[in-house]
Amino acid sequence: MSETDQLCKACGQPAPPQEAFNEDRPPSAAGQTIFSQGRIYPFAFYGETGPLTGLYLKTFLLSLATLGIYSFWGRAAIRRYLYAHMELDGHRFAFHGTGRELAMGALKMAGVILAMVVQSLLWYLLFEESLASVAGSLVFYAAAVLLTPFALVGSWRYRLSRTSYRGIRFGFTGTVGELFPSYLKWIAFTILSLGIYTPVMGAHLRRYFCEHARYGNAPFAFDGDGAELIGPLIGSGLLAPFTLGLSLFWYRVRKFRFYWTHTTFQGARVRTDVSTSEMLWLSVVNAVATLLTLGLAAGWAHVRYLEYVSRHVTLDGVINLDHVVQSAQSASAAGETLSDFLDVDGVDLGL
Amino acid sequence: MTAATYFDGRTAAARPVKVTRAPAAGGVAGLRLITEAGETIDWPPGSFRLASRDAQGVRLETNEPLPRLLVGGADLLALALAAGAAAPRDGVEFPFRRLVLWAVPVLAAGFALFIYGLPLFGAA
Repeated sequence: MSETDQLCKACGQPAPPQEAFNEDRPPSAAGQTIFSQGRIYPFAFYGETGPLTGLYLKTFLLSLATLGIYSFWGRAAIRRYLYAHMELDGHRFAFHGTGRELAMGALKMAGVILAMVVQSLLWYLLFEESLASVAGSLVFYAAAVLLTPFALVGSWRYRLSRTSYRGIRFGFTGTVGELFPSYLKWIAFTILSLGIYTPVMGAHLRRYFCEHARYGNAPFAFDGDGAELIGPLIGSGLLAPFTLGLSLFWYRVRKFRFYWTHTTFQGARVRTDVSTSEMLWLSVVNAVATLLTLGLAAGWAHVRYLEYVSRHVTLDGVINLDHVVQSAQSASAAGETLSDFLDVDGVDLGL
Repeated sequence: MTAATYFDGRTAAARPVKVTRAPAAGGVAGLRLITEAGETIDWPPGSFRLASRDAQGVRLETNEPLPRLLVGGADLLALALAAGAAAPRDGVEFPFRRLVLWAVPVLAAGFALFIYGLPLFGAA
């Protein structure tokens, strides 16, 4: 790889050296893989604009021709490409999901989504326009809030069970039944606190999802306290009118850093140095390019984003992957469809 | 014979292997993996496929539910293709000529929509 390739294409800064601390690496038993303390292993993304743009174009055209049916197969293919080009310590991730699974999941959830949309229209038959609009929206959002745990659990379970690294599948052991009572409590606190509790609720959710996520038989963990984000949330909210919303973007990046730097795996901690200014510039350029090219640059923008994130997120610590054992899990893609519809997603890496 | 890294799908441990063509019993031969301990593992033709390839290496995978993985260099790909690798899944590869093949109708459709569709829409 040339010197130029070592520069982050999004921010122009040198990428973290992959073997910067080789001398600190402790002697390992034959064939064992050791992530040692103080040794930083960055992620790397090797996807290219051409193939991804091609996949986007193909998905768009065939989805148009099949009235959206092909979109499930297209999405699976795009995800397969993205995962296959995301690397950690010289090894790629893989996505094993299929378009058929996504289509079946969508079919299962179609009734729920249809009911949510239809009920908002039915109110117009019973009440006058303004009242019907309020009632329809209230029921819609109440249903969306209640369905969110189903969407999140289903989405995580499906996505992780279809992802592998070094031939070992990820998995998710959480259940809606277990999460739902706590979720209702957090929602009540959030409403009563006029939204100030939101970061604490977010951290609780993150902890639940991390602690029930597995790589083979090895669990992840989360040690963040959401109270840390209350100040930034209030500050960014108050400053939003004076900064044209830029403070909210700053909060989003702050939350990204908070979530990832408090995530651990077998004692190894995720580190990230993504900066607000670089993320802002990246997002603005990506949005403008995608808009000006009527979506043709979407692949290019996606590659830029993943290159940036992968170069600024690393793993640091001691892990012995040789002891990680396969623990495959079956899962339906229904939650994936619902999470798309409700626009909730916990796996915020852009994959 | 070429060197590669093998993941058996049971643990995440990487095992160095030598890869060669399996002895043919009529037709295409398949792949034979030889571990450091001398154990041989045969991958029959059609039971494995390309998972991804680029400048960093080539990855072959077997079918579900317990995917086994073989990672190596460009010579592994040549060996795999000769040994009857199955067609890769959609999304694994998308060569430039296929991009052109898909881009031409998209651009033509967009152009036609702009020239003919918008005036029709405006008139309606």
